[in-house]
Amino acid sequence: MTKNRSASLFTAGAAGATRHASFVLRACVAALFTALLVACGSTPPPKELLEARAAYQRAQTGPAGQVNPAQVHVAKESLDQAEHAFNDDPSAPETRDRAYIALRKSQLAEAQAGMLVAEQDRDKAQRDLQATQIAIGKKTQQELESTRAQLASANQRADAERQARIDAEKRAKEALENLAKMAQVKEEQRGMVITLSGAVLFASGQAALLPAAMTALDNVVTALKANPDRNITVEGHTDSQGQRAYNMELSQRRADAVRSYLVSRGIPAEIIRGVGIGPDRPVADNGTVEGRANNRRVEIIVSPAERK
Amino acid sequence: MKQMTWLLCGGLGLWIAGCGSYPAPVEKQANTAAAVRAAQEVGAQSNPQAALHLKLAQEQLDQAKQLIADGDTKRAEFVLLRADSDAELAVALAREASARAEAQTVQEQLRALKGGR
Repeated sequence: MTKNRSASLFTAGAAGATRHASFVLRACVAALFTALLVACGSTPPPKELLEARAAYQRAQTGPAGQVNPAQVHVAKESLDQAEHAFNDDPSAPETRDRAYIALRKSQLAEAQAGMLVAEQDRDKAQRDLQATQIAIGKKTQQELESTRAQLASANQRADAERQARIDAEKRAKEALENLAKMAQVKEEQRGMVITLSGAVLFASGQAALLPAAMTALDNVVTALKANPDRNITVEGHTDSQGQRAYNMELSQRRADAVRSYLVSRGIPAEIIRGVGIGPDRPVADNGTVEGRANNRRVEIIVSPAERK
Repeated sequence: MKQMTWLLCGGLGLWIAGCGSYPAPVEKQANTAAAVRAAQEVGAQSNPQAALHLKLAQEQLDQAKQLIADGDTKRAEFVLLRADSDAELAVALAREASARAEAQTVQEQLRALKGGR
């Protein structure tokens, strides 16, 4: 633009200088000057300026224009100075210097923009990283807490089971103590022998249990339940009075009655058997009333289960 | 004799005036040297692009020193300006490279963490 303007000014001056010449001559001279000046004006821009223009275009339209406008503006000013210097003196070394500097300013704007973008990327990744770490931490924490809760409830269950066992043992012990008041409990070779007097369990000559017998047998059941791995033998015994066959049969029925009662209260049938012994194993003298009373009895033998 | 004195005084005056119009750009040269050192300190050598501009800056600084020594201070000033722009660019390129490397490291950590689950 500036070049064209000065060219026309010069042309005007040249036309003034040849005022007295003919129109053709004037036109010729004017054309000559114009051609000369246009030739002068078309000195090609130096490589540095071309590069600086391209670099500025790239910086302005690229990310630098968005994230680093201040430095792009500096580059623009630097390029304007170079263009100005080029207009003033296209071939001066200072023109090339200014173009070189303008090129570097555009490159600087781009490099700084690149750094800003990289920093934004890094900050975003860092935020994501932290968020992910927190999320993982929370998840781990939750897993830990649920494991702890599971463990605590397992412990509670174990405690409850232990307590239940302790309670059962205590009940069994109490039952045995209660039983000891109404029955004789002895440890023998064949196991624990609970001896219940016949008079407590049955009416004379009968095999039906008396109500009082049930209380006594309930204590036996409680004690037995605490030790489930047992075999139980119920033996019916009589004194030697009366017919032996009758006594044998009565003792069997009485043993069966006790067995049935125990089974009805939850002792597994397969671990109990009932045996009628009759008068064959007296524990006292059948010659006295007291001795005969002691011989009329039911023995419950609790022995350790045989391993199968 | 008197003529000689006048001539001498005039010459001296001219010389001083000459120095006044184009003094050796001592301060500018020091600033440029500092800019080159700054580029070295941010590790411009380790990035190829930054290293190129650091090298250009150093070469132009040397060129300017030579020009000053030769008395062409006007030219030297422009060469120092060129060196400045290269040193500044070297710093920016080195920083850009390290920012990119940092971003990449964190992004890789993030990927590893997300992939590792």
